[in-house]
Amino acid sequence: MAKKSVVFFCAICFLAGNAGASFFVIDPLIPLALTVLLSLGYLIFRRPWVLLIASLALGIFCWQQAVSQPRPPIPTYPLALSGEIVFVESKINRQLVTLLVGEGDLASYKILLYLDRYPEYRPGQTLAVKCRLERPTPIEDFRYDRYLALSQIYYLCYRPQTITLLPAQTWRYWLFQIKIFYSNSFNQSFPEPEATIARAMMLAERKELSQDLNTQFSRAGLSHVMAISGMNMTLLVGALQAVALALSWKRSFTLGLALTVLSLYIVIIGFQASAVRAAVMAGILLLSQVVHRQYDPWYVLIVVAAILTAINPLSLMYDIGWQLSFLALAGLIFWQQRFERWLGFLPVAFGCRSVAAASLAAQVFTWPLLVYYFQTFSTIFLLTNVLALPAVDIIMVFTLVAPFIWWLPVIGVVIKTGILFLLRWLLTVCTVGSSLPFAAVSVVRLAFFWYLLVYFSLIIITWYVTRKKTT
Amino acid sequence: MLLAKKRLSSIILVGCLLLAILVLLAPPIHWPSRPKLLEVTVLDIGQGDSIFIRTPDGVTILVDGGRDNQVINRLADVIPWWQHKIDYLVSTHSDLDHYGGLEGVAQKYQIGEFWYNGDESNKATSYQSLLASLKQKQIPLRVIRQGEEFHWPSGVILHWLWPVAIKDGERNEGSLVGRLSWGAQDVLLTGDLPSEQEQLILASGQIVEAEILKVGHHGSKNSSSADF
Repeated sequence: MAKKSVVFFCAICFLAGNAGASFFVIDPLIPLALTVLLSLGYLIFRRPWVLLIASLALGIFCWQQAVSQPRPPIPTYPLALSGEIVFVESKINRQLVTLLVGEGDLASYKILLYLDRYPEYRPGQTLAVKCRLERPTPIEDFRYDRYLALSQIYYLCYRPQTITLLPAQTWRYWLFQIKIFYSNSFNQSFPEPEATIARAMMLAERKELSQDLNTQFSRAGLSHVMAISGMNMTLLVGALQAVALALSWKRSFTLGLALTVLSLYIVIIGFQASAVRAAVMAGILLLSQVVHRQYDPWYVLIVVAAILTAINPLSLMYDIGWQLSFLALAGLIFWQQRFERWLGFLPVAFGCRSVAAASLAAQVFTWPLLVYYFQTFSTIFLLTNVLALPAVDIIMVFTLVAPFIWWLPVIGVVIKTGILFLLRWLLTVCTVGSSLPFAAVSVVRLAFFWYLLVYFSLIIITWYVTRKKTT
Repeated sequence: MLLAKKRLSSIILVGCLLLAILVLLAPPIHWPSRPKLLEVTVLDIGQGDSIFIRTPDGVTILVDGGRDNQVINRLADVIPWWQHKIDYLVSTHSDLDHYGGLEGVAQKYQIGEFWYNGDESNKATSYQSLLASLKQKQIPLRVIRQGEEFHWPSGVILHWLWPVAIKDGERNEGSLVGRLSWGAQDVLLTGDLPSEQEQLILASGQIVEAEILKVGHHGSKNSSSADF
């Protein structure tokens, strides 16, 4: 087996081990010992399959190690804590504030505080609270504890008794001002619900959307536009590549542009972990196509996914944004060019056809996962996505730069109106689409096996289509 | 064949553009043809009160903002997208289910004036944050007292029936109570006023007759007494 193939299959085994380990509990020392022994065995026997099993065991070890680390016990009395706010998630009715404790037994642990919607707290501010801590627990079949563990949060506080904002501020505070600048710009420039939609798409502030609107987006098969910033980034990269190809831009210029856009996006989103993971994947994939063109993009995708999983072992199973961006990238790799051929009836101008093809290709592998999470299957998702996603791409590119120039007398007004126009278009596609009686079918949450079966079928179809082309 | 394909492509492109322009421009074109009436909309904001008023001459008043930012989504149903101003923001009293969403509204819309009962004794961080935010934006704060009356050119009158004065720590007792009148139609807005204060309003001899009553304190047994 070629060295390249060994690395590829090792990465797959590592990911399989990591995913599989989420279904059982064992002492992490067992897979660790197995990994060490098999690695030594490989050095002696030089058989690639030994390495594959070692990778599988390593995947299991990483997961088990992440979920079984001992944490300080929770005191029964209210605890006075102070620390830096590292993340704030604003919901329609409250704020979820992540506090990095600065001192005491819980120093350097993160605590999730449930606070009133106002006053608004910012990352980088220093907060002192007195509260009774709780451990996160699963909510029905949702492993809330593990979802929070993904962000290294192991303690909750629902109602802090006293809250004092201390004067100290760190670099995070100043960095977060960029996000606030964008948020305020959208808020003041667009009406509702367009402003909230823009904030959800660009700043991942999706929790401020009303329940009605969430349902409409879900029925129209457009939840991913609002829900997950990682997938939006993937779509954006796909669209940029498509436009570059259509307009014959230089490869290096396209790469530079895409990487700049991705970097800007990460900064304005406030270095949100899932977005960073998605951007790293998209960025490395782009880079690999320019620097080492002999590498199969599929190979790069899997290897990078394994590395990112090794960094945060819970991300593979619990980071929805990253899961979707991974699947969207896979869709782009295998299906974009085919869709472009099938969509021959669409105009080529301004990369319209290419953008529509990229939008559709991104859906091929993501729709089963969206059905799994949102429990709604939109029967019109193909149509709504073709109509809406090109607008989403343009909105994302323009809103990155627009707030800096829309104070300009004419150009500013034109751009602002243009973005509003596209947001309204997106909303219209969503509301009209979701109002159709046959727009969506509610799906009961099927056993995990059925989703695996769907993915297996999709992989077989993709393999068949790809094979057909090469023979 | 190629020509026909190109033609189809152009038709699709132009069609999409026209449709999109129609989507954007239809509401502002249709808006002026609406009948000029006094509109009073009770917003569905979950827990709490929030009532949006638009007079026939276009003056907008928001009485209370519910508990959270749901009010912003509901306001989008009654304020067209090209309007960014609410003339008067009213907080009947300092309970979270009445003022909770007002800070978000003040962030989103330009506010002409803020009307309240003058009670700043509520030390809840969210209430202090609202007041601080309004002052920082230099929005005029007007303390409302019994007997004050506002007239608009369209003939709409808002007469405030309560409070006379405010004591620290008394929240519901200091609720603003207003009677909105237009022609023969009157709407009575009562905040969370308890029965005892309703009796005092009756005793003051002010007219409380109205075609529409917003029941006090969300229909609590301690409000909307039989006499009232």
